[in-house]
Amino acid sequence: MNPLICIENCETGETETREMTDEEVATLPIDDPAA
Amino acid sequence: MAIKTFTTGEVLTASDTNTYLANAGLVYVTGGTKSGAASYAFDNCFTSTYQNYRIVIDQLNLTVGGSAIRLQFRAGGSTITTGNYSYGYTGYKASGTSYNTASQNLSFAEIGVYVDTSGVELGSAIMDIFDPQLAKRTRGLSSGQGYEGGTGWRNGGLEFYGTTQFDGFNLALSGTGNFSFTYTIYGYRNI
Repeated sequence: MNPLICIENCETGETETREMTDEEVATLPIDDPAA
Repeated sequence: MAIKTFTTGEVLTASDTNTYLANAGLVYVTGGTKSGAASYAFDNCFTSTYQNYRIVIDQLNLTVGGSAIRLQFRAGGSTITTGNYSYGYTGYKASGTSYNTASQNLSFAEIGVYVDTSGVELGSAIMDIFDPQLAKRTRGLSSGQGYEGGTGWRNGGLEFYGTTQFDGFNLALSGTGNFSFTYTIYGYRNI
């Protein structure tokens, strides 16, 4: 299972928490342990 | 200079109240508590209404210790990860040890907070973000408190080198696990 992302629309106040897509996981600023 | 000065016994009218609200220096955009996720996106918080913003983050609590808190800007619902981010912070730990960090040309920026312990509220930061909605460089100043073998404080800033117009931002960790925090976002009233 991928990590969860919480997305808030500050204009409407709506908030959604869901599993990240593989594309979104690739955007996470996690340090590369091998680096 | 005050919009109006009241005298003793004078009635505060709805009109006066509205005038004060419309002329407040910082205007509340959104706020609350976030928990249970590894990444938090705030979309449509940067609008044409305000040019500059203040973001207050408090009670940062990690489920896995050992992470810096990192920021990426967002546009149209997507996180922008081009290598245009830079940041630099100077600081001190309570022990007197210098506590600096800086890097450039990355896919993220840091907000000056690192927490090495889980399950305790050990981090906070205030950030001012300049011009995120304009087709100019987006810059920020941040002051943060964290804990890395002891309490430490950092002051510095971040930048996105480019002209992308952002409508939001994302907070995530340099390591694994979830995190929680309280937050408030304000807009600086335009002159």
